Amino acid sequence: MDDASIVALYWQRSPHATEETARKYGIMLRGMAYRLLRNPQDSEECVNDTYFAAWNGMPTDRPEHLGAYLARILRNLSIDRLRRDHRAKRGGAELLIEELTECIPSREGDVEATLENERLKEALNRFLASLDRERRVVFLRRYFYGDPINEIAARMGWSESRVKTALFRLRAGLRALLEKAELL
Amino acid sequence: MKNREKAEILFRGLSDIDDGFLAEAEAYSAPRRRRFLLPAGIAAALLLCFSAALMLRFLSPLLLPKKENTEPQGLEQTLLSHREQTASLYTEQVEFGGDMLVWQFGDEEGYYVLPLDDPEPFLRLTGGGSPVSPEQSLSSELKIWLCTREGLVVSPQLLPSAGNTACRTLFDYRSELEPSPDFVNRLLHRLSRL
Repeated sequence: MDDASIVALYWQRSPHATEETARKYGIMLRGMAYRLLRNPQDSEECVNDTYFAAWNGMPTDRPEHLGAYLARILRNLSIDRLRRDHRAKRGGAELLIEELTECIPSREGDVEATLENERLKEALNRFLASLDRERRVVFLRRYFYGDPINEIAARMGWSESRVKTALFRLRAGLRALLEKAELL
Repeated sequence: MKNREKAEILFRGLSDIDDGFLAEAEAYSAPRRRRFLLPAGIAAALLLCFSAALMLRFLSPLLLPKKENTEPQGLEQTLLSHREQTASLYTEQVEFGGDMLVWQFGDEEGYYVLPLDDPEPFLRLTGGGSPVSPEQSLSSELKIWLCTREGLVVSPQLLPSAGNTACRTLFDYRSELEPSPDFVNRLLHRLSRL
């Protein structure tokens, strides 16, 4: 089933929407979740949360690329989960302080942070647009989807060392761009 | 802010990039490399070269104009081809006493005698040719001498030798020399003035 039909199912609030989503993107999402979380149980939960978030998001969202839309949700959920786990492991006063920072009311800082995020998003899009297709794919497979080097090499038809070299240069390029934009 | 925190912001920031980039990265798979293509290409190129070489080998005599023999003639050939022109120089008996160039073909009794106004340029040009083997010297159809009024004879195959005092008298056993191209040119020039 194509993306538009699956999205239409969501908009119709059809119970088959999640089923069709899982059929088409389940493997990709489970793999991505496992690569980011390194825990089968967490990964499965994260994928289910992704389906749930997609169900809640559509409508109003009508994503053109359903795979990208789901991957983004899963990625954000995975990052949140990682942060929670990290915090829980640290424990003690540090945990309490970090929890209390959430109580501090947001003021100008949040606006600034939002603006900063917007600038970062623009810079990243500009950086990706400046790359040729292959390098862009390599960068995203690594830093968005979390693919290991050998899988990227297999996907691209490159050697692993070529992938590593490309990533090294890409990181240097991104660093230069961020420095120029005075970001981070 | 610590670097790790910055990296986390960057990592999270990547979630906000355009869907188009993600869709591209998701769908991308390397174009299939056909492993047989490279060897097949090499084989085809070799076959092409081989065919071209064969074609050149067999078709060039038909396609290309015949090459005229432009190789420079040796002195013997030159003098033979000038035989009619030099007929007036032919004599049964050589009378010594002046500067002259004398030559004899193996199949003839007599000699050709070319009087020289100035033997010096010819003398200068002797001895510059490549050595010839004694067998080659003996079998040569042409014998040539340069004789000066002072009695100097530059004897067969034009090796300057003070030991030679007369025609066909050879006391010098050093390797004889082919007449140099300059000597041949000089002689041709001289013959053209006949």
